[in-house]
Amino acid sequence: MTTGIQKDTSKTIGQSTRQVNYIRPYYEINEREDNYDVKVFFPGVNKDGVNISLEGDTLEITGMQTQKIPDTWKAILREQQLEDFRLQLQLNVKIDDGKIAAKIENGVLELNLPKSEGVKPKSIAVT
Amino acid sequence: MTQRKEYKMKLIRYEIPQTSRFIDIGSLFGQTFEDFHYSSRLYDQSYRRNYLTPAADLYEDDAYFYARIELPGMNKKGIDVKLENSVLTISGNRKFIKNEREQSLSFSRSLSLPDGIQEDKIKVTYVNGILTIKLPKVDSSKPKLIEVK
Repeated sequence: MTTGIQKDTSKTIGQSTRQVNYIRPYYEINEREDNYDVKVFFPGVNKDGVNISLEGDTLEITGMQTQKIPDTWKAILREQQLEDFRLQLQLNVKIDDGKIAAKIENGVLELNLPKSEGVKPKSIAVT
Repeated sequence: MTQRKEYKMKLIRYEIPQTSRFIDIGSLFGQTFEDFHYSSRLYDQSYRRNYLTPAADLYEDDAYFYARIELPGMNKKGIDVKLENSVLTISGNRKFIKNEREQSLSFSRSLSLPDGIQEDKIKVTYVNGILTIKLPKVDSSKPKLIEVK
């Protein structure tokens, strides 16, 4: 018997078949006049482990753990989930996707999402 | 004060309670108060981690203990690591933006460590927002001989 809900597999075809469990990272968003500043907390992720994609109005940010725990280390206390991160943000404002800037430093990804010209507040001079 | 005395007078290294040689002090007290105090206004509720009580992992191999603490977005100089009476404490200040104003909140995390650490040879690294503390074990294969006078 098949279930009623169809999983969209179109995006996963061609990717590795290992089961991927993602953690939703902590993040902060601040709206400025011309842009949004997004901070995503990615402890353990370096520059090479970050992937940002904008599809339609969904911004997807993934962060892959780059520092693996050596096999010789025996765990005594485990509180952290050493899994990869994924954050999906639904954008309700048009973003100038050609000008998205990102940098990662000390495990925090900083994204600058510039608003499209059409949605920026405009002051109209009274004549 | 009394704790310090007891620590110094301790002669026997207890190997019996093997369940957890590391006691997470944060879980014994304080955490519930912090959870209450720093309520959801500061944190996305869906987010499980609270960087004001940083999560810690502890590992060991033959020669070292390793503490791994997540501290994203810190400055290396802003992290304080202290070892006193076998208690490892990591503390510092963290900046948050709340209601468009930047706030600084202090965080602290303590872990009780087992005996047998060479306290003068601890190494701390901070990479990609992860603080790793490498604590060398005392070479226990060479028991100390006590001279009879």
